[in-house]
Amino acid sequence: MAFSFLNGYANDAPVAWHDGRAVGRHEFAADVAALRARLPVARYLINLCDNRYAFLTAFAAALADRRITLLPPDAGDAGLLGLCRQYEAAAVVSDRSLPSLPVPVCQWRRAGGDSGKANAVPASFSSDQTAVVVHTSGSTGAPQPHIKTWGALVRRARAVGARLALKESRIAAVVATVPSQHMYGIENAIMLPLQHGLAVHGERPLFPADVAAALDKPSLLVTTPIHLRAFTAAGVGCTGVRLILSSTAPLAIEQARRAEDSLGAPVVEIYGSTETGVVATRRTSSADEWRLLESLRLRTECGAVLLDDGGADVVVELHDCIELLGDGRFRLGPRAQDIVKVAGKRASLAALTESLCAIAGVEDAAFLAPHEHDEAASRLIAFVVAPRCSEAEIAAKLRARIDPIFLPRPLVKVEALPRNATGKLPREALQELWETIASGWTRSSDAV
Amino acid sequence: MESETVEGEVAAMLVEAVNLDIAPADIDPQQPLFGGQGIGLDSIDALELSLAISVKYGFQMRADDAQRHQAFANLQSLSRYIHTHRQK
Repeated sequence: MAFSFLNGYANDAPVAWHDGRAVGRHEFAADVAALRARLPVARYLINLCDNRYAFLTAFAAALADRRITLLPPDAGDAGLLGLCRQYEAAAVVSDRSLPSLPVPVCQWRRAGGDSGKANAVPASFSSDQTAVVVHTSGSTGAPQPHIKTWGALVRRARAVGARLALKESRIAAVVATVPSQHMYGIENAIMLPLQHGLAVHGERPLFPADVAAALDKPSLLVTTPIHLRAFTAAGVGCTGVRLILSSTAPLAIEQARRAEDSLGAPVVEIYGSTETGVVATRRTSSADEWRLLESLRLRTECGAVLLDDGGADVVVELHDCIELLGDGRFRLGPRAQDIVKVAGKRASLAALTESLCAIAGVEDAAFLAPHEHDEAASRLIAFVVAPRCSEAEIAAKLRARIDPIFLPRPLVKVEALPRNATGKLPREALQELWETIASGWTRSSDAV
Repeated sequence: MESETVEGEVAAMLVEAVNLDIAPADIDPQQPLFGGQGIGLDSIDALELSLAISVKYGFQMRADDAQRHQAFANLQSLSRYIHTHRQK
């Protein structure tokens, strides 16, 4: 089975907007043809293009030459280097300057003109062609791959489009503030427009005034709670936004309502992950229940919630605490807030824990963000199971791996972490462990 | 007001907007604001900063402004940029 690359575009409908101009399908094909001629021969293509039109042409070029697009984990230059080491047969395409890399680098530039070979982008690709490998930073230091076939990406994009009723809407373009390299970005800022005849807005606006300027056509805005908050607070007017997607961090109900009031468009929150892609949606301002996409099924097995996409793709276990309500509806349990902010910087507790686990000699570890009024700790707390290392050794090695602002104070060695029967580590159990340890300290300091 | 005088004011706003762990006076006007060699701000910090600027100086930062990258290079250039664009 094959699925179209450009699906649902009227003849003269733009594929993208680049530099303030509409790019039609012939001009797009010309840009892809020019890029295909310049790309180094390599089995994998690491697509680092920040400009979304650049990303789109490189993505199409890779598919046309049956090269697999690799998307790096969100770990800066270190993550990129790790990826280059892992895939020696890779080349990089980028629209910015890069540190020196052990693989060939192709600088993206616009071909210009539309003397294009219209066949530079095949009309469709086989459902089972591996399109993208997305990476999360792995616990062993090597980026963890998640393979997405063209068919899986298309089916999911169409399921999301059906949920959002895009065909019935008057939306013409998709504007996004998130990078294309994340699962959320490639699914909603690239695949969603490609499968619904919508123009990909070629820039990635950051400042509220830029976002507002980009929303000059009837648009879908793909964004995050952080960008949404800034956009609402800036009070810049915009006329084009028809629908807003939010993901990557929990969106508070009040914030969703404020955004809907000030922007005049519904805010739909997306539940998903790199492993699963988009799983469910909700209109946060009025519903706390999530609605599973119609193409997906959830089932429980031995206490674990499994996601089944009904296709040949792997069944994935969801790691959040999920309460199934039947009829494709579910509620998320109290989830430990994964994103922490220390002195104005953000990090994911899960990612910090991975960095800690990656240290030789550390068998198990967990980070805990203290409660606001915790007197014994104002910064992050970490627990490690590491019988053969000292706390100082671990702390020194951790310093080389993470931003020092997130170094745990204290870092506590324990014999075991309070994992439950399914291996999960509830925040409450960690908090309890911390309180036991901290009260022990208070007692011993009292004795002195 | 001269841009040098604005510098102290901008440094204070910067420290407050992105919650930095340093005193405004300790920011070297030439030190890069972004990236590993400097203060280490990221794009989310830039967003916070743009909000603070719009409140305090009455204008919206624009990224397609060719001077923007230059503007965010360090405290000195940011202060100059604000000095030229301020509406209040």
